[in-house]
Amino acid sequence: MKYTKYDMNAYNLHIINTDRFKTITVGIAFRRKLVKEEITIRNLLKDLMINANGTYPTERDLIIETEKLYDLKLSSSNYRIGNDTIIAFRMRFLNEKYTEDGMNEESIRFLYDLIFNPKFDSDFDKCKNRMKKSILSLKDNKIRYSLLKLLETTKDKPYSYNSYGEIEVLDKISVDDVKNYYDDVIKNDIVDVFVVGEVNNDKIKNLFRECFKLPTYHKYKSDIIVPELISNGSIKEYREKDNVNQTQISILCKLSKLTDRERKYVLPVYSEMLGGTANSLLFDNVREKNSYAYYVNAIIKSYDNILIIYSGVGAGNEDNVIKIIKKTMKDVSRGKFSLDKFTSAKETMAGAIKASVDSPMGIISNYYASILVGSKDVDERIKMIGSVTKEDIVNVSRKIEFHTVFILEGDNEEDNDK
Amino acid sequence: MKKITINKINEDIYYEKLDNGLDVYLYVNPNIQNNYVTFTTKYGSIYNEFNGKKYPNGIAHFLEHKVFSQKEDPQPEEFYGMTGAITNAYTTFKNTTYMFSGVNNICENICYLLDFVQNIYLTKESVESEKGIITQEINMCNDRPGDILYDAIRKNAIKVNPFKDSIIGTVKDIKSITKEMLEECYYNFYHPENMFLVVTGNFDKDEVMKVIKENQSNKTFKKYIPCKLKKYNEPLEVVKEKEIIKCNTDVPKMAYSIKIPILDIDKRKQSIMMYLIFNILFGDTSTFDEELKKDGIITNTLSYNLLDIDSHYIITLANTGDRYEELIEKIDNKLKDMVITDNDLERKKRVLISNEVFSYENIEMVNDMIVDNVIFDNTVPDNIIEVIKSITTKEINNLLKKIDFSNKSIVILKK
Repeated sequence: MKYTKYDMNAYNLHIINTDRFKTITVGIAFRRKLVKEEITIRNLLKDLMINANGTYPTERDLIIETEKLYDLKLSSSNYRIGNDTIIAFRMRFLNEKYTEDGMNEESIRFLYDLIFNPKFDSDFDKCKNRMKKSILSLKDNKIRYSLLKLLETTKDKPYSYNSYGEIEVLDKISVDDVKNYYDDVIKNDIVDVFVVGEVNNDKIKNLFRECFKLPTYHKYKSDIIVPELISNGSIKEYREKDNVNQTQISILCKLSKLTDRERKYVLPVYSEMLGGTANSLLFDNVREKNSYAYYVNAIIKSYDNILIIYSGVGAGNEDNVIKIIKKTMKDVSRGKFSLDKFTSAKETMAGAIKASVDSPMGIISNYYASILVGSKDVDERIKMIGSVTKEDIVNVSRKIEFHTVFILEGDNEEDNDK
Repeated sequence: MKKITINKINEDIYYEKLDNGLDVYLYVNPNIQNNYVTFTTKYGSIYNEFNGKKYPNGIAHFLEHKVFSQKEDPQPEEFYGMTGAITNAYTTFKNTTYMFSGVNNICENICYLLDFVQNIYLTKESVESEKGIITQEINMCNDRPGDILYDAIRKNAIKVNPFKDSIIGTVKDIKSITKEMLEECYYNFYHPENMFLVVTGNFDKDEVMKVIKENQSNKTFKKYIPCKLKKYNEPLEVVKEKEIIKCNTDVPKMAYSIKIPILDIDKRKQSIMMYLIFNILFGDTSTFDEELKKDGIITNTLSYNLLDIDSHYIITLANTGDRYEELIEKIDNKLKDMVITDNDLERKKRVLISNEVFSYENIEMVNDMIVDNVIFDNTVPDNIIEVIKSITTKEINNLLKKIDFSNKSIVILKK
């Protein structure tokens, strides 16, 4: 596997040349600072851009073309890391070695049309309605809904915004609004392009130089880490009633004064040991020992300075479960955890890092993380995970503080045993 | 070891039947780090009446939970955790599969997988305490509109075949399950003759095969007596032609299911043809899809699902949105007028063949593919590309003439 970075003036082209795959994967990332008012339009834009374009003016035309390109896989997504928001386009196709000559170039040219020859007016209402429906369907997933409501309580933080967008905002967006926003993205976002596969580097570079032209390059000083939450003093608790069978507990923890090493290595190990897998402390204490839940998980958002814990429990058990979670965390902060659990957490993380290079998307994520947060290469990261000590875990757990609890509970409790 | 070479894409899968009856499949990809290993019993939720005795629904899934409990520590999650591997399991209608994935220690990890699944330790207390956990799992499913819809489709389309019931069972079913019942099911279905192991990843195939053989030859099993499974005579009629179910969801969901008898032709080919028919006529490249989106009747392409209940196919087209009544009428009309053209068929065949190549890039997909095929008919076919290539419009259009698509069952979920 050989990595080469090409400075294309307005963007960087990263080619990871490897014969590991029968496919070629291209990833394009557009990045800027997240602004609440732009979330909805940015989501709509990423849908419209892979729906149709000047060359393939309807959704159907465009999909038929992907099928002719030996079922080229195309997707776009919008995600956030800390303060930054990223539109990612991903395209994967069979290397022409397994199809026919010239398909690599034809597939990459297909991508240029998507990015530079957009057409927003043909399916505008359909795409809006589709997005509206997905916002309205948010509540179908009670975990996702509860986490959204939990984070909403923090108000001005970037993670408090509904990342799916707002229906009131969506209703007002016009084709011209999207055109203007698109121009702004092309002009001002920071762009990185990744190509993974067995390719001829010069050919790829020249293709991009010829067709993938972005205007001026704006240096934007990225500050990804979200400022810490302010302590509540006591834990804030919110409750909401709904017609549900299971009570959802969602807990937000504040992290403070983390060092870079803690953020990248120590806290992920902590979170893994606390609630990462079926071998975690919470899984043992909440599920195996007490049968209170089917799932209980911890997720770490290092660059948001928060940790989240969630579980689905029987009605009336929420206080007991919260007590167990608190006790488990307190034990960790006193060093009361087995060496086996600690070693397993580190080994599981090391294994996942090692296996990340098995997929083209994993390879792209690794390189993109090095650009975004200066993450190290696979071997170095495994070494650093290995260097985390029990004392590190104890120290970092003192920087974790319960902040807010959100509980979604049923409105009629008798219905529970049907 | 027998080598199965998948024609036209030159991928090799190795196979051997061990002395005790266990089938072993190996697939090596030398370019990757990870390994993914599954151990499957051909026992799922539908086999809950055998040797003249009926067991509660959900018992296969309950057993899956309990097979994970070992008498002495470490528990499977702990054992695998020590080398950074993870373990899990799932139960379907026809099989229960235990798996691990991990970069290191493949031989020890395979032996452990064989050991923990081939050994059961149950106590009355541990069976009781599992009931609370499974109840929460059921409650989780009952809070998901998608799961409610899928259960309702089967309940309304299938009369007697146990495919009608949910894999997990109801809280009432779960409460009635005892240690003795679990043991009876375990000893009937967790026998090497009824199980198979699939190892996919980066490993030395001869060494792995040797280790598996050693592990198995050190164990003794009772003589395998296949149990007498109850047979079902599923009628063509559906249970309910239409039902509207009140449900906590903000956007209505509609499922349009068609129940048709399975014809007496190659079943694997038949299911590919069904997929092609519905993909071409209702999928995202169909004029049906384009027109309904233009009219605003749908915003997303209909989802397609084919359930093979041995005697019949239950084919389901589903969608979310308010204008479901108009959609039902459109589907009714389209089903009366189905013809496949060469142009569409050739393009879709290219898609299917490409996807066969794509799938070998992911060991989990290869593993799943092997499991599905073995469950289907105990073989891993080497000619899947040829089967796809051999399908003609004439053949499909003839098939279309033979099938009556008017036998339907509709479920709507709304507030």
